[in-house]
Amino acid sequence: MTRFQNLLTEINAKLELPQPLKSRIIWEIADDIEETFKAYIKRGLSEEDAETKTKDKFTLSETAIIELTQIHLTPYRRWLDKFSRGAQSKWEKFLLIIIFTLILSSLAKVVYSTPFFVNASYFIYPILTALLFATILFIVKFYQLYIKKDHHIKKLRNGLDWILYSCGMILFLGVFGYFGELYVSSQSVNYLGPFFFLSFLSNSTSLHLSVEWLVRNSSMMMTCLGSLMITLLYWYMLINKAGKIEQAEASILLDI
Amino acid sequence: MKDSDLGIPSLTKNFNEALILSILFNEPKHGYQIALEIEDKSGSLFKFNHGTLYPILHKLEKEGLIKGSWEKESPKRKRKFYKITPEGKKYIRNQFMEWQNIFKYFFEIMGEVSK
Repeated sequence: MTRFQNLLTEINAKLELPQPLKSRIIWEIADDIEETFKAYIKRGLSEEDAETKTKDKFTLSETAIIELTQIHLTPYRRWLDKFSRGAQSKWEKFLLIIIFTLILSSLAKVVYSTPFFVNASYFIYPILTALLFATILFIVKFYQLYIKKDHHIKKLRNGLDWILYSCGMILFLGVFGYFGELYVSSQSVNYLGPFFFLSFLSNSTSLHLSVEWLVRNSSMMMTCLGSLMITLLYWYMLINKAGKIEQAEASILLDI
Repeated sequence: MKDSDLGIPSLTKNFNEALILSILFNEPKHGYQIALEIEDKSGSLFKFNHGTLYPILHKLEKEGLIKGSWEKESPKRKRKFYKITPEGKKYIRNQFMEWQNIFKYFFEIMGEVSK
């Protein structure tokens, strides 16, 4: 590939796209360059002529660069890559590990040391199921990217969006559970029509119920927020790894 | 599916798109094959620069008229090839009729020269 490295580096520098996207375009061009060069040689051109002709063919004009950029940079991708470009330095990774460990240890402490979760809302189960789903996906992807090192470009980002969807589901369940519990609790006390949330203040039984509601909901919300942070960290860690692998492969091609 | 629009301002763009879709009509091909085949079949009249080719290929892929897939040839080598989709086939069939119309009127007007 040394023959066309300068050309590829030039295209890489011109494309104003996130590196993972650029890498895919560079791979495609790199392969086509090599094959076009071989095709010209087969047609009887000298190596020099074939090289010049190939380079002429693959020089991307400013218009082509702008068009390629416009085609690929969707707002969603822009948002995703804004995150995946981060956490490249050792300090950022170190900080991530510390945050991750702190969250896990504090959550474990709460779960094991208090009867807090005995009276938790039933919404805790679907939230934990979503967390379990994200954890299974994380383990599978972790195995694929870190242990098996199956860096097939097509599979690299498979499943990562599902981890992000799990975050959305956890958040939805938390919010839904919060208001659901509030509504259900209000049904057990003096009902005050649409102002059911004021029902708790009407008498001492209601006050007792409101404390129960608080216990149920706060344990659920803690689980919800904890699960949300863990799932986001799963996604953040994996998307950075995928981005790094893509970048590394592009670097091999470009020799940068 | 993409609407067919063969207006004069977008004629060159549509012309290139039609060439690419026609080349892919019968079998999937790699980017370089598309460019070389167009060049060969046109007796080097249509010289396809890859600077023009990639934006068109990626645009057609985004519009669902073609589908790009990566194939692994060896552990260190991946190649992308493009295949026309059923929507793409339908689209290019419609375009074929429109191109015929365009050239029919074009030659009618140009025929004035030979009178």
